Amino acid sequence: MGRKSTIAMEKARALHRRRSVKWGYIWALWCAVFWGAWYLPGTAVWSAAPYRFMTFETKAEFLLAAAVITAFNAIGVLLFQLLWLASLDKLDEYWRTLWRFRTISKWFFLAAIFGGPCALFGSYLAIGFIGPVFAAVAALLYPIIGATLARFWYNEKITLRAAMGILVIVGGGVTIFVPGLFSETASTSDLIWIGYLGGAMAAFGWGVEGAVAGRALDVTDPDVGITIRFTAEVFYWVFLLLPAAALFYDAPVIEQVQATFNFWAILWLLLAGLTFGFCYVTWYKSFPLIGVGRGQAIGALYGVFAVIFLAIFAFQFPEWNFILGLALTVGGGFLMITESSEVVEVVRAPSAKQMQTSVMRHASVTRKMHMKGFILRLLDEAGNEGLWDHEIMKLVFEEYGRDGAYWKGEIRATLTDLFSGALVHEVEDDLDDGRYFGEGKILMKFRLSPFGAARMLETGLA
Amino acid sequence: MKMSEFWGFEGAHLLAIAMIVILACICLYMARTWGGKL
Repeated sequence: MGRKSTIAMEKARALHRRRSVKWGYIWALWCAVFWGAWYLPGTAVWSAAPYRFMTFETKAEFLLAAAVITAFNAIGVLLFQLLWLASLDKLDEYWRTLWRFRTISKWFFLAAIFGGPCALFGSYLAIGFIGPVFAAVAALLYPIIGATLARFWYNEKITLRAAMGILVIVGGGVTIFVPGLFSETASTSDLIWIGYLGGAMAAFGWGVEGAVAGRALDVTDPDVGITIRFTAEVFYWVFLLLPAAALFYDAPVIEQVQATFNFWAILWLLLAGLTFGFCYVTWYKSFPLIGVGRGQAIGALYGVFAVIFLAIFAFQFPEWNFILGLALTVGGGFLMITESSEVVEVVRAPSAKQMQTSVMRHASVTRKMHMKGFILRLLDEAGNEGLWDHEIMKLVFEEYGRDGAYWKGEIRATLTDLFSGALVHEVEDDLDDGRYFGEGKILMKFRLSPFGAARMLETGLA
Repeated sequence: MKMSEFWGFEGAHLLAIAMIVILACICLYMARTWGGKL
């Protein structure tokens, strides 16, 4: 190959790498924007009937209110995520992935327990008992938990720089929490400890959720994965938690639900669903590209947006410790963002055990397989020979009846996702002459990695 | 808390609704087009 071609290839390769990482950070930043915006409808709902008339003299009354609001929020999220999937032409992928419960969907159902009844419910407790600024900033510790779990469960790479960024974010979290424990806050109620507990639940729940969901995200489409996770949460609230509250605690659940059906309460809950739903899809979209730890850390910038939005729209201005905590959080986020894309590119380092070659059953490819699983099976069947990305694209188009620029991009994104997760190796590359994805773009040939083979066995895709 | 006590100025709630909907539309558009930019 001539020198010019070599230079062009290197440039194309580096460009692809930078773009993949850039888009990982963009999705994480979108998460931060929508998450911050959520505190507007999330707080406004407390000022709508019936909640604005409630005195909350008992713990039970407040807990029920928070539970009903969280359940409605989850329903709103699911509605908008289904709209998101419909817009992205992925509703059929949702069904294909959902039925794979034993090996894949179960992880999203588990993640829902931490994200919903723990984190989201905790956030509403914190908002109600203390305030939205406290709630927004209290959950900032969640990346610590997520990154730690991701490191131990699937050897997600945490560079020294990323670890420093996370520690700085922790410092921001501590700055926010500690003064509040000793000073007066908005409420003088002796139930205020519930608000602090809610803040801690939010941090813990969201941290664990990301790491748990990461166990299935490498073999599923992230847009689909998060929708399954919220399907689970709606199921828990509507069929388990609220009925249990009514049956075992004699809570007036039905009356509370009926009273919530008024224009402003439903509007705020729908907007809470929209902001939270889009926050989540973008959050999950970032994980395969830059890793759970980084995705969560950048997502933690939601605190900045929450404070800004609350200041602009509600004239709620933070105390000095919140501002300092936010500055530390933003600083920690920038430490991560400015890391070289070459370092970030592959986010997983499979363990030695996972690298052992597994014996694969060569099952025939079925129509019911979700797209990412189909691609993994194609690569499995191709063996050491591997497949070019444009060959994979052609086979996917034939199998699923897809076509067009949008689906070319989705397949390219999926392959980038698989590479970042170390499920595939790149064995060769070339320059696109404009026939496939765009002139001057890098073309890549992939082979299934031993880790990818192991993941296929673990998730029943083999 | 009354709704008027939460929002900082007249019409703030309408502005917030508009902002959220516009941001959602932009994000959805980016989700439809980002793959081609990789």
